[in-house]
Amino acid sequence: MSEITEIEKPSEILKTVDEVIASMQYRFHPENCTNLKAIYQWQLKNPDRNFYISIDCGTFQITEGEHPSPNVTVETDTEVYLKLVNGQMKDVIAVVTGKLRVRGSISTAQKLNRIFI
Amino acid sequence: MIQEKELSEKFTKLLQKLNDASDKKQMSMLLDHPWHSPNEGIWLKKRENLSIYGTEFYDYATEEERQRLSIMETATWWHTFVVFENLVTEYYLKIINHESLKAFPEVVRYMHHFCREEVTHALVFRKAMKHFNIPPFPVPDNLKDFYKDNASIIEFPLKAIFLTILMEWFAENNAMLDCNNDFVSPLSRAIAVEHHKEEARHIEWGKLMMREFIEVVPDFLDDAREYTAPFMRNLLDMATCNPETYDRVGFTHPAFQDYERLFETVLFSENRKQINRKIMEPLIRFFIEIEVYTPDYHEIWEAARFGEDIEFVLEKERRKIVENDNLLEIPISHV
Repeated sequence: MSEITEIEKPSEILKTVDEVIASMQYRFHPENCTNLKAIYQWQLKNPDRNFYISIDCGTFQITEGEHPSPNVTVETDTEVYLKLVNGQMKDVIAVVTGKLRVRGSISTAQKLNRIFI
Repeated sequence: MIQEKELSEKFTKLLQKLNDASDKKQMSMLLDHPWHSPNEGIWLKKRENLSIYGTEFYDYATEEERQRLSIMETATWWHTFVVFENLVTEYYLKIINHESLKAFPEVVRYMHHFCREEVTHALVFRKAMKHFNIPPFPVPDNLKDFYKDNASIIEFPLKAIFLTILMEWFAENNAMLDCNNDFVSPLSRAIAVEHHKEEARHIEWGKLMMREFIEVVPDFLDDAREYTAPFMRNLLDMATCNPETYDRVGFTHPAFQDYERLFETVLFSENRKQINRKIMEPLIRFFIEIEVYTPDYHEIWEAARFGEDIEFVLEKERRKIVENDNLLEIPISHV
């Protein structure tokens, strides 16, 4: 197993999805995905916004829209997404209360926690 | 090649034993439960296993609300069983029809018994819900997705079998712990006990399937090391509480309106931690034995909040405390 780097929550509150996307280059930890090729799709509601992140062995690219066959799809609403990103809601609470739906491979999904925060 | 593998003597003997046991006696929807039991004012699970027990929310609830919660939490569980037993049957029949286990006819024969037993279990749980006048619950999407999206990604079906025994074993431990007490309705207890008799066989079969095939299915172990801890954590948390159950009880205290606080309090309570540890202890021993857990992957288990539970089990091993996890050898009164 490769060395895992601990990542901390962002020190500033991210107020919009655009701010979250812009911050990703600073929150990306390539050393935690050196062997990973995967597509993570986000489907946000209220307001609607779809984008996906392609991880390719230590690099990433963000694309607006829907990928035809993502490995993992995360569905939630924008407010919950921002709370999760800012550490204002635990992901377990979002899952149990039905506010967050994660579809696809669990092992790929759980890697995301260490690629971006 | 998997298809050329010869089954070990130990596994062959167990298969014979399991097939014989299923040939001899399978659960009857009509005969094996005290359906005449009263359904007024009873508790379906013991007080100490209510999700809110040991938290401030237990004090906020009235005694009548607590009793209703014991009904709703058990019924949610029964309904989840109905859904999963059906899903498992669909998958196992798909595996049988796909003929990926054709080289092992005794395994396939047991899978037929397995499916027949799962169908009966689902019918019994549905009948129990009707008996207590409880309408079906919506099953959380996440709960369905975890199984559907992961068990279906297979060629040789070891992953589907692994995910199935994890759910069955965890659900079984949970159900037995919930009602191993004279306080609960005799019908609720009988449903758990009769279910346990057949599930114990399913679980032991699944464990031996793992031991038998884990070495010969490429990438199974690497993959399982990554997903098992988050999978188990999600199962535990989603089985503990959900909004629909609390809505149906209709708590009057205003504190119950704040769902985020309620769920966080319940999921992270000391009482829940102790119950989860009892549920997980034998599973963790199995994960250590088949090397799904290894110290190299400890961070994944720590991130899924199993760090202390792993330490607890390892400490027992260091002190040479040997536990018998073979469900076919443990008397039901001890489960």
